Amino acid sequence: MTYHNDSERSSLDAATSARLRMLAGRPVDTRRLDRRLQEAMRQQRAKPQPVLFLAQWWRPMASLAAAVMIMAVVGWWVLGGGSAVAVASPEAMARIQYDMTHGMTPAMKVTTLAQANAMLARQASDAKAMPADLPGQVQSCCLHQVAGARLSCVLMEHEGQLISVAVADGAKLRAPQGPTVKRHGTTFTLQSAHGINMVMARKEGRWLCVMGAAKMDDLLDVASGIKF
Amino acid sequence: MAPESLDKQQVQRFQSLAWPLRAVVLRTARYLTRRDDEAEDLAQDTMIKALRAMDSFQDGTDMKAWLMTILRRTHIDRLRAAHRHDRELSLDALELEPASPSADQAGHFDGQWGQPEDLMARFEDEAIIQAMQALPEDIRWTLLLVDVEQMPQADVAAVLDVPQGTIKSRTHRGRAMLRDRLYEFACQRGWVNTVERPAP
Repeated sequence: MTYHNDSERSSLDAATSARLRMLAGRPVDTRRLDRRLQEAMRQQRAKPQPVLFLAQWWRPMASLAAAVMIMAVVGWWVLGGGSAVAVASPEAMARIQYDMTHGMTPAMKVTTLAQANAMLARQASDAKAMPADLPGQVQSCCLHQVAGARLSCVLMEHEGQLISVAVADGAKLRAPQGPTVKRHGTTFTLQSAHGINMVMARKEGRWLCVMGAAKMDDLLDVASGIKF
Repeated sequence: MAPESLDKQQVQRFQSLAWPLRAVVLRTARYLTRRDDEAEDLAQDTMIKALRAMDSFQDGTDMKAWLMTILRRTHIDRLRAAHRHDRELSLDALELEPASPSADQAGHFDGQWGQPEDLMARFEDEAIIQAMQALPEDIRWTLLLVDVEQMPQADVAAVLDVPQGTIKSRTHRGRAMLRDRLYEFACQRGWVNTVERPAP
């Protein structure tokens, strides 16, 4: 080997390891795998059940009701009630928060927003940039997909709480229906799922979500102070 | 796979513990197999095996290490099946796949790197993956688990079923081999001066 000395070898190893670690931040599209797994699980779960008297007429009735509902939804869509903007479900967002705080998602360790933005842009050219300033110590960043929309996420520590800030294209994602609060001229939708509070809003063409186990008021303070 | 009935508790446990790690399994499968469809098959087989074996997973142990163990065994099974028509392939043959000719001389270009972080940063992910995929199987697994997934060396040793010391030496050797491959890429791209590799 042609190492000059141990420190050179150590710095080369550190650089190699750091570059390899970044591969863990590459977004992985699991949608097709999810469908395949769910189908496989459904097949494996299927057990022959005794047919009850009620079930004999209930199943066709349920099928009929489902068909009517599908036709109603399709009709509503065709008549223009639908929108190309997907809805960010609170459950999906809560899962992202859980995964990020429990190290279950491939995240890149960063300490500044500039680093986070550089990393995110490197991973995907259409990744939305994080706001210029956040009131907490940035810890990591990653990309996610929610309802087909790409989501840039940053995890930060704010007053002892782990809070995630997620940003997406406002033309592709929106908040679900829910209670709203207006602060500094922006309307925030409040959501909660699996113990995770979240405030969502549209700001300057972006869709924004601030979430964590913190109180809703604290999240609102963070979200209302965010500028792009 | 033959359908087997699963109880509700088993499925719930799988969904709360293993399901969140499916992206990690799929990503590792991609870095192992080079092809997306093959990687999805491998990831699916792994996750279904994990689902069936949820009863054997001990609470308090590391789910990621457990899934990686299943992934590795499934990968070996699939490699065996793929080679079955050509020749009989033993587990030992797969695990002790001979290192590439450069293994003994790994780190040959290390004296040329200058600012390693700057040069490393110039390589796009695909180049790093391509270089990693050219490494011997045991080395690739080690770098995937130690450096990409940041797993503790003790866990990696358990997954790969080798002593921890072997993981340490494989890690250093693997990083040096990877750098050699990348340095050759850098030469091809004109980023650095070409340096001749000595004959083995």
